[in-house]
Formats: sequence, structure tokens, C-alpha cells
Amino acid sequence: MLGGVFHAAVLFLAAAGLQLVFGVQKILNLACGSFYALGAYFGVSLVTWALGAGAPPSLFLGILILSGVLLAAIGPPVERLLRTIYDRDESFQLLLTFALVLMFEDVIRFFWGTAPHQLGSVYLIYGQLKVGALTIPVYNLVVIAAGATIAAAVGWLLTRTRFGRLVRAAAENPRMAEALGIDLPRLYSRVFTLGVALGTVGGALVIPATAAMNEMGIELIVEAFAVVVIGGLGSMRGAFAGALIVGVLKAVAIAIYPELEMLGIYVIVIAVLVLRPAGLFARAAA
Amino acid sequence: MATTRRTFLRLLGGASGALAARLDVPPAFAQTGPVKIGVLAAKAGVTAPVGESGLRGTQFAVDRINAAGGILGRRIELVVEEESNPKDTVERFRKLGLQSRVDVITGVVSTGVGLAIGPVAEELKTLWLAWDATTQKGVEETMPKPRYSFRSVDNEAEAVMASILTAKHLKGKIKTVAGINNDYSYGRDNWAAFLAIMKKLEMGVTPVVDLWPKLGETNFTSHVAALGQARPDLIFCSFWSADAPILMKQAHAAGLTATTKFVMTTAGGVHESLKKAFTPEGMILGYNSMYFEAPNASPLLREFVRWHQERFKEWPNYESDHAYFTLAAYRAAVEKAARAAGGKWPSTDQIIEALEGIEVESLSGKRSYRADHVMECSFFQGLSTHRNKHDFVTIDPVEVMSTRQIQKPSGTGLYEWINSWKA
Amino acid sequence: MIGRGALGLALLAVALVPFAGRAYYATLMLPFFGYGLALLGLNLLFGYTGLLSFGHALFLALGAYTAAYLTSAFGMVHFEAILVSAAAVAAVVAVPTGLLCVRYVKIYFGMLTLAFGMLFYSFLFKFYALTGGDEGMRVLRPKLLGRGFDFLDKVEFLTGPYYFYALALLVLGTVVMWRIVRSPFGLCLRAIRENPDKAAAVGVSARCYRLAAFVIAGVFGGVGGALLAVPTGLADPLLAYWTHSGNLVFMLLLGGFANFFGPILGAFVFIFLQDQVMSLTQYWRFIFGALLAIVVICFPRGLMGLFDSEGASAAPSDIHRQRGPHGPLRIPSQRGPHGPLRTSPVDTPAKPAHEPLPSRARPAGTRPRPLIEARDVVKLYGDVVALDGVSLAVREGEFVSIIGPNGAGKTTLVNVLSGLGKPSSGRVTFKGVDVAGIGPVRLVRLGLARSFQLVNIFPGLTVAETLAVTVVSRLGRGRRLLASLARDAEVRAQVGDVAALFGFADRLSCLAGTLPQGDKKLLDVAGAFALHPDVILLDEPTSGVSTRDKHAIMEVLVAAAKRIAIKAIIQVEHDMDIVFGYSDRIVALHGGRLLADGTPAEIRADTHVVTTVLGKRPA
Repeated sequence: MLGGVFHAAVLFLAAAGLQLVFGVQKILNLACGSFYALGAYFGVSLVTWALGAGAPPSLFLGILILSGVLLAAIGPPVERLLRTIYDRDESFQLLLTFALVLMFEDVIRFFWGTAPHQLGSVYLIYGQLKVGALTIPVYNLVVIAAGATIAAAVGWLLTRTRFGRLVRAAAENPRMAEALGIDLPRLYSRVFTLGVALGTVGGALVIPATAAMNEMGIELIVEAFAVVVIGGLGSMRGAFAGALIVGVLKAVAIAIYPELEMLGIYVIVIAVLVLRPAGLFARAAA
Repeated sequence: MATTRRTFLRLLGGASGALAARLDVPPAFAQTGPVKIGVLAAKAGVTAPVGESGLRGTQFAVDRINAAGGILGRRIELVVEEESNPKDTVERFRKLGLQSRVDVITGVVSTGVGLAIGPVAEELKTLWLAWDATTQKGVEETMPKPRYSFRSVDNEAEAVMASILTAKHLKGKIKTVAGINNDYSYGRDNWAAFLAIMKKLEMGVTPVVDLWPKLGETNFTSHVAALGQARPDLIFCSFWSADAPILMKQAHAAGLTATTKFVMTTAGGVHESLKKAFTPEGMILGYNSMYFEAPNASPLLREFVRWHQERFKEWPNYESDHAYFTLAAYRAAVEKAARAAGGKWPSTDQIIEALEGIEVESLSGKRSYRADHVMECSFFQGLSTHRNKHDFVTIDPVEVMSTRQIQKPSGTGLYEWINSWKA
Repeated sequence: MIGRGALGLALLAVALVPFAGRAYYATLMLPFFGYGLALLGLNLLFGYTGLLSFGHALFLALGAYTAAYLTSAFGMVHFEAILVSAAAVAAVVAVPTGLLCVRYVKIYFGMLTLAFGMLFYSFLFKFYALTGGDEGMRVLRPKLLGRGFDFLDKVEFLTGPYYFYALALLVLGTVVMWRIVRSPFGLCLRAIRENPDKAAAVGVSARCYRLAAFVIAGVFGGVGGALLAVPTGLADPLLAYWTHSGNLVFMLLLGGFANFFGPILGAFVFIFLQDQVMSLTQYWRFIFGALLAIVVICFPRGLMGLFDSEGASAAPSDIHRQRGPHGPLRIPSQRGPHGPLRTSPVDTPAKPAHEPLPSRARPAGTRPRPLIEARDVVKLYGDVVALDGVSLAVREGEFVSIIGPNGAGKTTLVNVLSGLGKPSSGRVTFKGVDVAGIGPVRLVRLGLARSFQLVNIFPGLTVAETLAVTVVSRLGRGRRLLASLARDAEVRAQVGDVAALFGFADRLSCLAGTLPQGDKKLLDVAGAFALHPDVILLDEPTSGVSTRDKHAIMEVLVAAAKRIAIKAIIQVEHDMDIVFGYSDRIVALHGGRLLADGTPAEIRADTHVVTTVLGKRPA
């Protein structure tokens, strides 16, 4: 079950970026998986470099988060590209992000090649926790905690800050917001970058426990997509709940009837789309 | 109406006949210019590292052959195309055969693609020497008697060997087994073969759980939890891509490697990623058909490993040798057939004849093609050890088995063959 | 201009490819034929109906697996049987998935189709005993028209008989699709793409037509998939993967969805470009991604858009405009005119009947049964009471005006009467049938039409097409898939009639979206009249029109009503001159309650109404 929660935390980070961008800009960003993958690769590179340069290994968590944040610098230019078609049909926006998926796939191959990349030895630096017969790597708990913290932080950002109020205003009625003097292009740029950062940080955070490979982005899109559909498009709470549902459901399927591991998720997705098309949590928070 | 249709069809047939005539006559320059060798190598997706490894072996072979004057004086020229999904790869294969007019095509790693390519090779009458991509279905159903395809070793060979080693090292020490294999034919076939052999060798083990994560999965925490709950004595796993180190890492973190034995039939393909930090000693680990640190490595292997290390800063894996062998075998067959044909460049039929039963020195030692176009070679497996100069595990002792021991002979079914073993 | 000549030349060139001596390129044309067919279907969905499917590869996979099953499991090698089965299987799958998917539009439709595609992919992968799992299933060489062509080897077969068979199929599919998009059915699809709610208001049910389009698209996909599978010789799960669907959409956009032939061109260019670029660099995905981005940003009308001809144009000319509402469930929120609008004078021709106002045109001596009746209707929006126990009956021969200040509940009442909104309580009957919330489509069939307060048109359809949608809907022609709309004399005549009545005769080929504001509203009204309803509900038909033109419009309306024999008119109106000049009866609403209901004279005498509603003493 804890495995499911760990998986959920990862999914949440990736899906949260997707949700934020959809909630405000109404763009379903297929490239969110690519940001996640980029974050993973960049995280490996930066940590390997830092450790090689003599940084103390226990600092790797900070370096990973830093790498995710640094990488979010690709947000504004990508948003600039998307901005050219904000007034177009959503279908075009979806397609443009599909174009980004194709391009990022090769960008990763160009810079990092096809071989999997991993951080060999930092996973267990924070030790393991023994609970009865169970052994849990502390890092898993760190990731779960990071997921929860980021969820809380984003929630706080959106509900308690001036920035959050602006974002919600823009999400509710962009024209009105603009009429009231909100600099929409700047706001969109920031929101998008925040969305990218959630993805890249997510990718970077998970990497000590796994390895970066080329198709992780494309694979993740499908699951992140399941998360947002189940949770409800554009809702942060939905992303949180959806990630938990998908993660735990997968864990339960693996424990009880492994054959249903993947199929079960699609069945749930379709059931939700059919019964509650707006998702379990229609957009409220974002 | 009927007559016009018939006329039309005859016309069509005539047109195609004319076309076919043009195809059948090899262009005049073909025997004087370079030998064109088509290569289908995966460049993206899970199989990309395998494809790249094959390409490296190919490059090494081509460099050597060209340095030695080519094949019968003709230099080798590579035409590389990408192996992707079956549909596109069939098109690439046709392009190599019909458009680039290559003399022979090597490559292909993925099973689904291989099954699509096999019949196309027969249709085009184009010689295809596969690197990999050989499942039971492919061998038994789809390509029962191929003429133009030469296949790799059976997919299950490594499971068979690993099972025999399991019996050798662990008989009586394990009662329960669990499987975690990728959810596709390769994973399914390996697990089935393993269970069949456990039964045949009277290991008296019970399978407690079998998990089927999809190929390309990067998170096994839930699987590891399920494995931990089932508490098997042995975990059998046929992962071969990045998922192998991920599984080991997460299993190690959950304390599973301390209590449970592991069999990793194929993870030697990604051996460098199996870091000592999380990979235990004493695990049965398979390197498929080439082990880069084989104790009695041939000078050829040593040279290749050096070349590989210098160029790529990596230690090579088996796919390089599959690829190397296909080229070495092709060269040997052409030269053999040419001798029989009086020094002239042989026809495809003559080359096929020469390839059947040919034996050449490959990176991992002697390799050959059986008369039924299946590869014969040696497999390398052993118990993982941390006693080496690397940061990843290697094996010691190294066990070597020939495919004559661990691959079903021509004309039998896999399970039929296993059941015929004498206990 | 892409004339018939160019088309013929292209066809000739394609037919000559197998004789060019490049067998490879002939084999490469085969997937083009398959994709071409599939994309024709996909474009019916996207270009014509406005639904972007991100799971269309599902149907190609279905077709391919049908071919695999029939040839390798059942030994059925007659290609005709395979094609028919592929079409049937695709249709059988398309109906239930379509029923679920077409309830949503936009992103939601895309997501749902993607989910179904991936579900099928997982199914193919998982049930390996049935489907061969990742290894797929062999597709054996089929017999064409009962002939095996055994004297040809496979390449000769593919580049010979199979080539021409596939080409013929693509031509056939193109002809069929050409007829479909030019049929009354095709017009209804475009109307739905332009404005589904308006389409419903003229009796065209978006859901039914979308479903039909989805199924047709699925059938084309299935046949295309079967066609595709033979040259590959294998059906494999990757055919259903979402990136394959993405590629289909890519091809569609590359060629240009706005043009009938765009998808075919897109398939051709995509396949041959991929062939070249893949050999050139291993980073071909990047190049394709960049290409897609450029197409999306700079050439949204695709290659065809570069040299487009009006004749073959299918989609609206201005695709930069957002189509329809945002979410799947919201009523359109098109913004009305902000502030005073200057409209050009309505061309009210001198010809149409300039008869005196038909006040009391039909003597209502015997009080017939009410045509439409609302009883104690309450409508709540959350806590807001929009209608609070309104009862109203309108009988044959009446011209009833509903008046009241802003927020009195006038439009809500019209919505409830026209079946758009379901009352929270109370009864609404039309011709004795309970019609509460049954929706506009069924009410139109029963004989009730309406126009809208805010501009509600099909911006990308011409005036003639707009009117034709209503005529087609009334005559029940929408089910005619293959009939030519242009040659339908009855539809044409009736469109001409209505256009003449409302002064649109000389602007039949104008795009509705380019009309002046007042004319857009008039076109909406004309559409309602063209339905030949028994009762018509007009929601401020003359708002946004200068006072001078209002009377002219009313004259036209009344004349049209007589001509079409409309039994009763209910209108919402602010202009008291119009109200008192034309009505038999006036219903005054205030705060969701019925304030008064009587003849103009009675209303004039009702001081309460005069003060609260009229605010001043009428002249």
C-alpha cells in the first residue's frame, strides 16, 4: 500500500503541472510527461556532476530540487510558443503539445543517448526504516512528504496569496481579469513555468529510486492523464485524489490480481468519464 | 463485363510480370561496387540501447573486414535504417531490399517486428540475418521453414540455462518461487519455461505469485511490496532493460535482497547498471551469449572490449556479438560459396547454402548456424560477485553452456523437448 | 484552383506508379491508400463535425485485427469478406463507444477517445491468447475478387492487383465521402460543428448526427486498417497506441482539414516525408515535431490551405475563431452586442406583402384548446427564483407578446416553453403533450420553433446553407447520407422562398458570420420560420436594430407568418410600439411572476403594469 502511495506522490507531481496549466490556460499539455523525463535526466546529470565536484552526498536532495527548478527555465520559451495559438481551438493547442512531445523525445536522445541513466548509490543515503517485517527506504517517505508538501504549498499559493488570487481570477474569467488590469501574458507565463517546475521537480525527485529512460515521458502521460480524468480536469484537489486512486488501485491490483494492473486503470478512467465526465472533483481549487 | 475484367487482370499480371523481371536481374554494377549491407537497428524506445549495442558490434565487424580488404575485395557499405513498430519496419525492410538494393540485411531486436519481417524477407527473397527477436511462436508457427531468414537463438535459452543453474545451486534450498516478468511474450515464455523445468527437474517448488509489469515500467515499489508479502525463497526475473536495475534497487531498498534469492536471466545485457550498491552477491545472473570478462576470452573479444571501452567508455554486451556474428558468418559464407563457384560472387541461393551449418569465430568464441537457420553459440551465466574492479557486479564462477544443451533441437517443440530430458 | 483536371492528373499519376519501375515506392503507396481512407473518415469527424479524436487508431487496429483473425484463424481469405467484416466490426465497436464519446465535445471528446484507444491497446496486449499479445497476428495474403494471383509473388501481388484494388477502394471511399459531405446529412454535421445549440433549435440533434459521423469515421478507419494490414502482414497492438492516433491527426492537419482532399494529401506527404527523413537522420521525430508545430502555428489550414479553392472548401474560412462553447455541458455564452450597435438597414424589399397588421387576423371567437400551455411553472437557478408560478396559455391565432423589465424572467419563460430548460416544478404542454425539458429537437418535430435573443447563427455556413439546414431538418432529409443536397430541388426551392421572404435572396452565398448584426438575428428568425412551425417563439427579434428598421422587420415577420400559416406567435419584446402595434395579447412579467395577461387595451389600462413595466404612459 505504501508502494502505491509512493507511486501516487510521483504521479501527483506530474499531474499537478498538467492540472495547473489546464485550470488556468485551458491547455491540455501532453508534454507534461516530457518535462518529467527532462527533469529526471537533468537531475541525474546535475547530481552526478555535483558529487563528482565534491558535494557531500547527503545534499543530493537539495541538488535534485535545484535541478528541477533550474530546468523550469524552459517554461517561459515554451509558453511563448504556445501563446501564439491561445485564441485557437483547443484541438490545435493539444496538437502543438503533441509536437512538443515528439521534439523533446529527440532532445533527450540527443543529449543523453538511449542508455538508461541512474544515480547508483544515493537512494539509501537517508537509510531504511524497519516497521515489523516491512523495510521502507526513508527516501520513499521523503518523496511522499515532498509530494504532500508541494501539494500544500501549491494550495497555499493558490488560495492565500495575491498571486493565487490573480491566477484564480484569470482561470475564472480571463477577459474580466484582463479588463481589471491583470497582465495576462505575464501571469500565463508564470503559471506555465510553475507547471513545468512541478513536472521537472517531480522527475528529479523520483530519479534516485529509479532510472531515467527515453520513453518514460510518453509512458507517464498516459498515467498522468488517467489521474486528471479521474480527479477532474483543472482541479488541484482532483490531481491529489486522482493520483492517490491510481497509485493505490495499481498497488491493490498488483497484490490481488496482477493481470489487471494496467487494464484496470483504463476501465476506471472510462467509468469516470461516462458517469462523471467532469471528474470526481470538478474544478474548484485551481 | 467478365471478359473485360479478365483482360484487365491479365494486363495487370503482365505489368507486374514485367516489373518482376526487372527486379530479378541484379544490376550489373552490383558485383563490382561495395557490398551493401542493410542494418535495421532500434534507435528509440526500450529497445534502443540494444539496437545501439548491435550497431557497435556491426561497426567493429565492418571496420575489421574492410581493413582486411573487404569481402572478396569488395568493401562493405552500411545502410542503416531504424527499427520501430512492425508496420514501419516492414516498410524500411522493403526500402532496403527494393530501393537500396542491399545484398543482405541484418538486425531487428523486437519480437513483434521480427515476426513481421520474417515473411517479408521470404517475399522479397532478401537474405535477413536476425540479431534477436526469436520467440517460440515465431519459430514454430510463423516461420516454420524459412529460406531467406536466419534466426537468432531461442528466446528461452537463457531461461533454460538459468533454470538448470537454479537446480544446480539451489536444489532443496528453495520451496517457493515468484516471478516478475515483463507483460509480453518474452516475459511470458521465460516464466513458463522456468516453471516447466522446475517441474521436470523435480525441484518441488511452488509458484506463489507472478507479476507482469509492463515493459518500460519505472516504478516497482508496489510489485516489490507484493513480492515481500508473498515471501518467496526465489524470485525469477527476465528483465533486460532499465527495469532490471530499478527492480533491484527498489527490492534492495525494501530489504528483499537480504532474504530472497534472485535469478536474473538476462540482466547481463544492462550489466553496468547493476551497481554493487544494490545488487547482491550470489544472484544467478545471465549475460546471454557474450560475457565481456570471460575468463578465457579470445584475443578477438579482448580487442573488441578495448575498442568498445575506448570509444564509448562502456563495457559491451551480447547484442554486439549477435551483430558481429551475422557479418562474420555472411563474409565466411560468401567466401565459401565463391570458392565453390569458381571465385565468382555467389548468388543468394549459393550464399544461403553456404550459411547453413557455417561456423565462424565470433567475439564470444565459435558460433554457427544450424541447417534450420537457427544460431548456435554459448551462453554465459553465473553467480554475481562484488569482487571486481568495477562499481557494478560481475559473475564468478562463470558457467558456459552451449545452445546444444539449452536450446531445443531442430524439429521439436520446446516443452516436448524439456519433457524428453533424462532426469 | 484544384480543378477536376488536377485531380484527374493526380489519379493518373498514382495509377502509373507501379509501372515506374520503383517497386519500393509502389509498396509505399499502399499504406497511403489505407491512411487516406481512414483520414477521410477522421476528417468527417474533425473537419466537418468539429470533433477531434485522439483515439482513431483504435479503428485501424480493429480493421487490421479483423483481417488477421479472418485470414489466420478462420482461413477466410476473400478480401471482400474481410473488408465488409472490418467495416462491420468497426461499426459494432463504434456504436457503443460513440454513444459514450459524443456526449462530449472538445478536449473531453479527445480524452475519452484516447482512453478507449488505450483500453483497446491494453486489451490487445493483455489477452495474448486471443490476440497474440505483443507479437500480434499474421495477416495472410488475401484473394481479390475470388482470385489468388498465385502466379505472382507477394511483391508483384502488392504492386500489381492489390495496388489497383486498394487504389480503387480509396477512389470509391473518396466518392462516397464526397457525397456524404455534400448530402443533407453532411450539411447538418457542419451546422453542428458551427453551433450545436442552434442546430438543436432547428431540430438537428447534435448527438445523433455526431454518433452517425463517429460510426462512419470508424467504418472508414476499419476498412483503412484492413487495407493497411495486408502489406505489413501483421496486426500488432502498436497500431492502437495513442501516438499512432496522434500521427493520424498530424497527417490530417498537415494536409489541411479544411479541404476535402487535405487529409489524402496529408497522408501522402507524411508517408513520403517520413520515408526520406527517417533514412536521413535518427532524429526524425524532432523534425516531425517541429514541422507539426510550424503547421499548427503558421499554417493551420495545412498544405491545402496554401492553394485552396473555394469549391472544395469544407470548413469555416476563419478557423482562428473559437468554435462553440468551452466545456461540454455549458449552454453557449456568446456575448451579445456591447453597447449600441450600428447596423446597416435591413433590406426590406418593397415586394413582400404589405398588408395591414393582422391584429385579430384569426377570429378567436370559440376558444380552442391551447396550443401551448404553462401551468404554475417554477424555475430555480440555485437560490434564485427566475420563474415563480407562471401560468400561461396561448391559443391558435394569437400573437402574444411577453414584456417585463430586465430580469423579469422573460427569456427563462421562453426557454422553458421551448424545451431548453426543465422547469423546477409545474407543467408545460404543447398540443397536449408534456414537453417540460424534452429539448428543442423534439419540440421542433412537434411544431414549435424559436429564435434567440442573442445572435445565434452558424457563422461558417452561408445564408443558403443556414436556411437549408432548417429545411432539411423539417423535410427529414438529414438521414440521406448520399443524396446530393445541391440537386435537391425541393430544398432549393424552399430555401429560395424563405430567403426571398426575409430579403436574403441576393445574399445567399454570404457567410452568415459576415452579415451585419441585425441581419444575423433576422437570419436566425428566418431559420425558425423555415421550420414551418405551428407556434413560433421569438426572443426579442428586433433588439439591436434601429427603430426605423424594427417595423420593417415586423412587417416581414407577420407576412411570413401568414404565408407559412403559423398558428401562433409568442414574442419577447421591449419596444412598446411594436408590442402594442402587433400583439393580440400581452403578458407582463415581473420578478418571475405573472403581472398581467390581457389585450393591449387592457394592459394599457392596467396602471400597475404601466408603472412597473412600462415605466411611462404609452402613447
